[in-house]
Amino acid sequence: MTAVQLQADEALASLSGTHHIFPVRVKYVNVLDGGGAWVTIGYIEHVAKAEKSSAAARLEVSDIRNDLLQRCLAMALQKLIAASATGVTAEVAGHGVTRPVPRIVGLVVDQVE
Amino acid sequence: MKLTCDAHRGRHMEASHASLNRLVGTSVEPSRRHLSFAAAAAAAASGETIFIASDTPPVGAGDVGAVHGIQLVDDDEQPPADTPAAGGAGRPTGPYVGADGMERGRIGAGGARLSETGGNDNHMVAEYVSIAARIREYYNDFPEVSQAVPVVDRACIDRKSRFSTKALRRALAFYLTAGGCGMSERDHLALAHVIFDIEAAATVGSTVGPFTATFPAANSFLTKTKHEQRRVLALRQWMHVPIKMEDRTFSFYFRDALDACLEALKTATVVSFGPDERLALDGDGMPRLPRGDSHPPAWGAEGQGERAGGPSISDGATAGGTFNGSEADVRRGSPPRSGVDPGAASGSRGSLVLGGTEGESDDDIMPVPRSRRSIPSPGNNCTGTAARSDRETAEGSPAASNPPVEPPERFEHPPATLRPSVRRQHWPRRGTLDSDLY
Repeated sequence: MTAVQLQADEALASLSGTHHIFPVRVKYVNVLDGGGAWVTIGYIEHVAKAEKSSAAARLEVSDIRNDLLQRCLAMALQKLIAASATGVTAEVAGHGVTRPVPRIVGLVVDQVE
Repeated sequence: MKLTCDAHRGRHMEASHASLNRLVGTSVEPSRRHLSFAAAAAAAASGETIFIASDTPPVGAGDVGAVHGIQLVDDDEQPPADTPAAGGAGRPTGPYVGADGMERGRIGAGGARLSETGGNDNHMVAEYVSIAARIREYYNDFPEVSQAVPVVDRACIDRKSRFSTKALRRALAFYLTAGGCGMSERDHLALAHVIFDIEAAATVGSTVGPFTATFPAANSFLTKTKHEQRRVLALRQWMHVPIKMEDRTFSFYFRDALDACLEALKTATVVSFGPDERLALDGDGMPRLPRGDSHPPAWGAEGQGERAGGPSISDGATAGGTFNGSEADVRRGSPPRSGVDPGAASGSRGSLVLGGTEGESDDDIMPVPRSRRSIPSPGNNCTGTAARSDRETAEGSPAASNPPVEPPERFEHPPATLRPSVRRQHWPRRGTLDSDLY
């Protein structure tokens, strides 16, 4: 089994401090090089706060953030999810050709939702 | 109750019908090919709003709760009363959908049909009964699945990189990540001039430095940097896809996680698949599982309710006496908690303590930034079970008083220079972009 950890956190994307983005990072736990390295696999667009202060407007923004995050993760993990059921034949350093089965064991997202 | 918005419907389903399938009632229907009987297919094609009156099972197809011809029944696996098979053999011959949205019953010839493309959908039956597969199909039905395009032209892979030395790559990484989000083009040119001046001062009277030799002018550094970005983006197969949500369109830049995983596994220096690595590679590990007369497994460590002296009768008695020797061993050999053990997955007992605890909570699954960890006292052993075991044995702990039982060597330890128990957990820098591309 190849353990996969996911992490997404808001990051600054401009010097002016007004633009943010959510890099999605992945850590493959079985890779022990240097204690494991995080690999960026995606950048999710930042959804700004609601302009109106009403509860309905905040709810709409919250729904958009939820849906966007899930659909982005579904896109980035599409092949990995399929491989998590059956495994995939691949060459692994030090092990030759094996059949690792990737499984997501952790997801940490710093988002209000 | 009629809900017009998907979000409202979703919240209503969560709050009032937690036991039901959350996909039922959404405007985005799952793939039509999963509806393996005609009534359901017709229901999906009708586009009408689905009503779910209650969680109680209907008596017949005409009762409240019949959803577009799909008969809702309770979770107790009882088939509908008017199912043709109900009055016959006792079990239905055709499929029916339970209240949880899962198809039940025999799915064979009765459920077989030709798909719209002429193929036989019988092979989809196994997926249909899996809720994970249904959720996957739900997301696969979104239009963006087939709209992903490469960010840059694949031909950029063939370009030769000018950043061939470590110093040049570091200069590139500094430009791309300075201040957290990289430098502006103006600052980029200023950086190039600074490097030119430094090299000129360092190489007075000799040959020009590598930076000056590679980039004759500051604008050349800027241009080659953009070329290098495009080359790496093409090499890493970065994709772009627009995600449309109502009246808004979001851009998502991504690379496939599986491709990144395989690349990481291939190019890594040290890869470990855990203590069972040798057994798994041998292909037949089951007969070698520990039996009652064998030594305890290597991961049956102290501190997890186990003693170093090996198995005992009280182990089975503690569990109500329902376990015989082999079952108790299996329980003893399994990880201390159900679910995925990241330490076992990584082959590193020390990595169990990612959150600063002793692996008793979910912190070992969800690593916590160092700033949020609890700092253990010097006496608190938090460097992993293996180190703790060694120390306790040396200090005359109760385990040391027992006859020493050496656990079998189940896997090859990594080299001494890679001490997983003391390896510092790396965590992405908060609030910044990273330079892992270089």
